[in-house]
Amino acid sequence: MAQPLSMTDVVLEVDDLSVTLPTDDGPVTAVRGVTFQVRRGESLGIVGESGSGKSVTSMAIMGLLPATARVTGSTRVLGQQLLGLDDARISTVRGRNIAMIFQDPLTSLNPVHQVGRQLVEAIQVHNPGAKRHAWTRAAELLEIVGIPDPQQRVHAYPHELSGGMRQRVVIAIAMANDPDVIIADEPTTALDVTVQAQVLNALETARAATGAALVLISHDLGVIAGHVDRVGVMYAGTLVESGTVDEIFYTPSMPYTLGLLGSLPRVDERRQHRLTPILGTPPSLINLPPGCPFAPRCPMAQDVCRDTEPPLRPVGAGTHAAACHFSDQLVGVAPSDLFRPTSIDLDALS
Amino acid sequence: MADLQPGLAAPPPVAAEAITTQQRNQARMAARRFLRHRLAVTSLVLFVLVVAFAFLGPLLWSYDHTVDRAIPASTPPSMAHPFGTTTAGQDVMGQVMRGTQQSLKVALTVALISTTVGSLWGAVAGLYGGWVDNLMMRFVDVILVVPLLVLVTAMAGNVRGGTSWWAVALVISAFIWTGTSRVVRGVVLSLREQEFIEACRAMGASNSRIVLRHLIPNAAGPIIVAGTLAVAFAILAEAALSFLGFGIQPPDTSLGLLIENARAAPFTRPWLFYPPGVFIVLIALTINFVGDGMRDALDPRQTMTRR
Amino acid sequence: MTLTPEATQPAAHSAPPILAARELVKHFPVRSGGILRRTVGQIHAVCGVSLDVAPRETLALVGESGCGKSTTARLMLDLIPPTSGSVYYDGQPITGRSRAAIRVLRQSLQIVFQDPFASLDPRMPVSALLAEPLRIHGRYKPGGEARVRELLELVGLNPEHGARYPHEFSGGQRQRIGIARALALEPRVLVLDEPVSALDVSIQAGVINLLEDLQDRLGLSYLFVSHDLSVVRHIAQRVAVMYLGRIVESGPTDDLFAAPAHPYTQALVSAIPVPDPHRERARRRIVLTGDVPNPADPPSGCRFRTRCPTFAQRLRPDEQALCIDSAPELVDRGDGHPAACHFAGPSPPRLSP
Repeated sequence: MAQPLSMTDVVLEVDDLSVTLPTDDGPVTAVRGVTFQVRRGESLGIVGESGSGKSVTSMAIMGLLPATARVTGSTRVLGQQLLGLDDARISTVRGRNIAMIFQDPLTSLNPVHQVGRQLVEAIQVHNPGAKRHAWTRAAELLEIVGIPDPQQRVHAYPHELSGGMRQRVVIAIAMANDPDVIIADEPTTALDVTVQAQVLNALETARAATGAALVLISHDLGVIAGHVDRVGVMYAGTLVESGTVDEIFYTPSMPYTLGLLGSLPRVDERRQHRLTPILGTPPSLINLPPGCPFAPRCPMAQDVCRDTEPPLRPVGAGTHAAACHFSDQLVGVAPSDLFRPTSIDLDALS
Repeated sequence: MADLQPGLAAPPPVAAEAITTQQRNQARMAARRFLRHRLAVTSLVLFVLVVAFAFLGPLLWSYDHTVDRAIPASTPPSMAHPFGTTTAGQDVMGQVMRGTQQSLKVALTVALISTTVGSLWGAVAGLYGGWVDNLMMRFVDVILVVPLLVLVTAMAGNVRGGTSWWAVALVISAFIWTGTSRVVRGVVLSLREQEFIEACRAMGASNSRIVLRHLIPNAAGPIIVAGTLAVAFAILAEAALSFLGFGIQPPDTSLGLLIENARAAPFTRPWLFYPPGVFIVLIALTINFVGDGMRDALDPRQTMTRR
Repeated sequence: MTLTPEATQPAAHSAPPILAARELVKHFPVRSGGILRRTVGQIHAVCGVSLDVAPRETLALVGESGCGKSTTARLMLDLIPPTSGSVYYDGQPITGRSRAAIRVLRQSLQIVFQDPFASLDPRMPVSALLAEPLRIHGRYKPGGEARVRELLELVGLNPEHGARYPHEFSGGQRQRIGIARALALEPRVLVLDEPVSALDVSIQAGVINLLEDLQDRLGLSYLFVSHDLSVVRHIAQRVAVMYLGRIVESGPTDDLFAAPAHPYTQALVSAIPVPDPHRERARRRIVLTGDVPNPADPPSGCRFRTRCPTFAQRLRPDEQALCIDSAPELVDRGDGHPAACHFAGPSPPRLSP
């Protein structure tokens, strides 16, 4: 992030993106100054808990937020500014340069059309051509994402397919026009683990086939660990840490990331110790108080944390960056050194 | 390692600093939520005024709804007769007072009976499901296909000289509770799939407890809406029944009957038509808004509940 | 009998089970549309499940959606009647008892649901929610108010917050309220149906710790139903894996995770993502093909054979015939714990790295 990048390399560039959504209780600033770049062929994971703003970020990039949302900053795909484009202009970018995969495949497919027809539509939006050819291509795409009997399945309706197969159809639609970036928002959250493995495989295949960069949004640190090169951790609408996947998982420099890792039970380890939850709950994004948004839950918090929100700044020599006043004190600290293995809920007592 | 972290030395803040929140009285919270609803409060005040006009008015006003030889026939509104008089020599204000009284009695009784019966019927059918539901709802269908007016016309032949207001209320109720029961059944069908109803079963709660303490309170919104609609419907239905010779008959009167009698008058003698008309609209509207306010007041999920 | 009930019993436990199921079967009718609604088929949700929950033990029942684990949990609580088979609490059969007897039993067997938003009546303040089980069993007076405060404290909530409504709490706090309600009648067994699946990880850890503490403090037994194997490995002493209505493998947690014997368990364990980039990249995944078959028309013989990598890649036709013709029993075939596979054994060399 600190390194200068040549513009030709960067396919997606998000700069100081902020999103404010009106609600009954007042305006919610769901995304606060998010900046990141994705280079050609690279995969970036964005990890965060519910309400951290990770999905709103992806919706903002795709221009899918309601008209009442106030979006500032910039999002560029191949240098082209997307924010502020009208619907017709952004549609030429959507699908061709940038494609999106949502959590629920049932809602992103039209229930009354055959999946083949939906694939053909996606292909023809950007390449109006012979219909016959588009149908052949549709079957090819289904084959790439690992759907058996693609020749028959192009004529299936979404409800005739299982959840995992539907999600693979969505992936096939996403890769229909060889996009430069695929944004996958919790693509496997609604699926069982064995099916999740199939869909993640399909996603890898789609990337390999199209050479697209991937932005993988997930709450599952396991999925993130296995499928991305770099990771951004979001909390309270902003990036609180970013770096390579190894940096984030092995040398976390923000107490929140450390806390997340410590609160995770692991299937690959015998039960050795108690989990260390992060006490309290994330702050409300309506009238966020000053200071670090994690300070109320942070065992390290000092006065400065409650007064000044730390910017995302480099840690060490590489691309690793963290938004914490005391990142240098986290070197070699294990989650259990910082968080307590408690079972009470601090927030509930106040 | 511990000396590296400034925050670790400090004792974690725990229960000691727990803030005591006041025990909040549920009824008071509901009242506060209702009072926040300005339209509902205004409507409630208006409705209370209408009730007072109908029930206390006759005690203070010198004329009632009957023909009085001292009353001049067919005069427009004046100081002596604010709503004017009829051709037969009746004071229209006295008539409207009596009419409102009778119509309110019918309407509120109908609302009470139809929501109670309809809610219980619908909740039981929805909760039990299966053949119980089938049987109960087929019965509802049978009632729905019986045309109310035809039946009443047939009955009217046997009750010369009209019937009392409560008989009218019973007849109307017997027909419109079915609407409420269908609405409530629909709500219950979706509620009973929810885990909190299963949780009740797991605790060993009886079905009557589940219906009364959990299903009906959670269906309160649609029930109140059905109740307010019942009020408006009952006033109009009563007018229709009177016209057919069943229910309230002259010399007694009701709002519907007054409108019915003034059917030809809107342009020639508008004072005969508009006062009862305005009162019908007033009752229907205010009840509706009061219902809205009640629905919100009874829903704890409405905002402004924190401290 | 195709299955010996003792098969699922842990060798180490000598204490009789506090909650046990024998040969539970549950079929749900599939009805046609229309007025007559004839039964046109049966969904075989649970087929011959036997389980033992020992006192003070956590037995996890794991499997993917539609495998029948939640139905089994409800059968164990007698929330739905079984098609056949029986459930025993403390050695006494609970199926087919009188209503009054079941009401008494209900106090000892409680359930915590998955969705902390749907499982609490939104129209009741928390104190009324927690008083509800006490009132139902006529145990509210005397001392109900004090008991409610005690329960809130027990689950790490502020006892002053009794007047608040469920929507005023976060998901984690609501789940604590659900746990408090389940504990109100001083049960001995809790059935936990995906109790932490709806929670964010940082919150989930606190609830897991709470469940562990409560078990220690109150001597509870848990039947922990979950699809999340990471949580199961952390919390359970024993695991039973379900696939399409049958238990395919069961045993002590560490044995089962270290050396899964059934091909389904092997695939399941290998598919769980691990939050460790190096291990995750080095791991070899067994990716199953296809989807879970329709439970209204399960495959003959071994129900896993349609997706089984061993069946497809390793077995000779005569061996495959065995899988097609006969359902494997859940017995120990030399792996140290029972597995329902004719060819159970360590992950075959051709499939591992």
